[in-house]
Amino acid sequence: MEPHNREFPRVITASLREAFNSCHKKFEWSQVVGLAPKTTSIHLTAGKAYAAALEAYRSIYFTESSLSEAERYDKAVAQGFIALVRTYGAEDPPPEEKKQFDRVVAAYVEHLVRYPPATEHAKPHLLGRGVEFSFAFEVADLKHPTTGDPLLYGGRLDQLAEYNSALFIFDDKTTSGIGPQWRRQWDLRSQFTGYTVGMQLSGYPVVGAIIRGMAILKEECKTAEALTYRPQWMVERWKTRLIWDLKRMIDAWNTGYFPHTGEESGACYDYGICPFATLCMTETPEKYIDVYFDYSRWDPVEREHKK
Amino acid sequence: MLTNEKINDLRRRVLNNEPLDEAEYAEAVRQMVSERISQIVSPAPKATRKATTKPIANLDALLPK
Repeated sequence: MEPHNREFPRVITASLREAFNSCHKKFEWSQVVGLAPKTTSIHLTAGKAYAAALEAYRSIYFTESSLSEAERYDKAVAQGFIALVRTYGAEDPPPEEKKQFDRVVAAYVEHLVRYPPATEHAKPHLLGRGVEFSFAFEVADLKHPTTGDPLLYGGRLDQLAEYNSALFIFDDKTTSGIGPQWRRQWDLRSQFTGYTVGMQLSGYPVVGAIIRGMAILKEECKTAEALTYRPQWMVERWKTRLIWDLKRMIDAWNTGYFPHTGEESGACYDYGICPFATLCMTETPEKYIDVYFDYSRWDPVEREHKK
Repeated sequence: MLTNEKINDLRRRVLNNEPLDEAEYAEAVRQMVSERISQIVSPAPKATRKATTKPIANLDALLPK
């Protein structure tokens, strides 16, 4: 493949690591080559819109102390709705998709009903300016393979929450279903161990994560909450494996070999079908890149796709 | 009840960058919350299976003769 502005990411995130571990080739397409599908997944759009609504609403409700409770609530829920609209946008998905605009609004309303802010048990831990937190730390002794700068691991979390006198990562997740096993999947989820590490290194004694799920269905929304701890031995294990993962990433970059490991992991058919499956199903993927993809790489620092 | 039409009108105005009355949006969300709470408290009756037994007027009718 001809190099087209190939880049090794300067900040590794949970998503990049997940992409690499699920399929090296997916990592190459999305991060190294920098391809993004021309069509946006409705799951991503709906998730972003829901997250934007909650961030706007929480940022106002829990920080605007000069207003009365009723004024704060009104302003917060209004701005939450407005943020939802702006993020979802004007385009509606095909009618058979569950995550239509009105369903994402219903999810937002469901959240307000099930978790009224005045009785919120997981209170946001505030830094004085909004509820969101971000972090980045240097990964010990690993250098970026082209710049030579320290390699960074970073992340951005919805909020920190105080619960039972302890500090937790707090994350909202949208999903297509909440079954009996929904809570258990977070107990080993690397994303939250990474957030725990990042926040501990930033001076916040985080002990685990609270994950609030919202299933957006055709006729209803269902919600559930999971609480999962991150003991220190798990944190140390995560740090060890992070170095192992990054060394493999650097090795793949140096050799130029990013194999189709999704063929074993099943990643090709996660969340429907991998957006890069089209390229992997042909001997000449370069012929299809411009048809189905834009050159656009997600920048976790700027939080936008950059061409 | 807040209709989809009304919700989409609010949506349209945001996307068109029209001047927004925050109170109007707050009221719309409050109404949706209130309607949802009503649904939870008094859900619409679900369709029931056709009864296979006949009701009886009183229990004495079950006593052996």
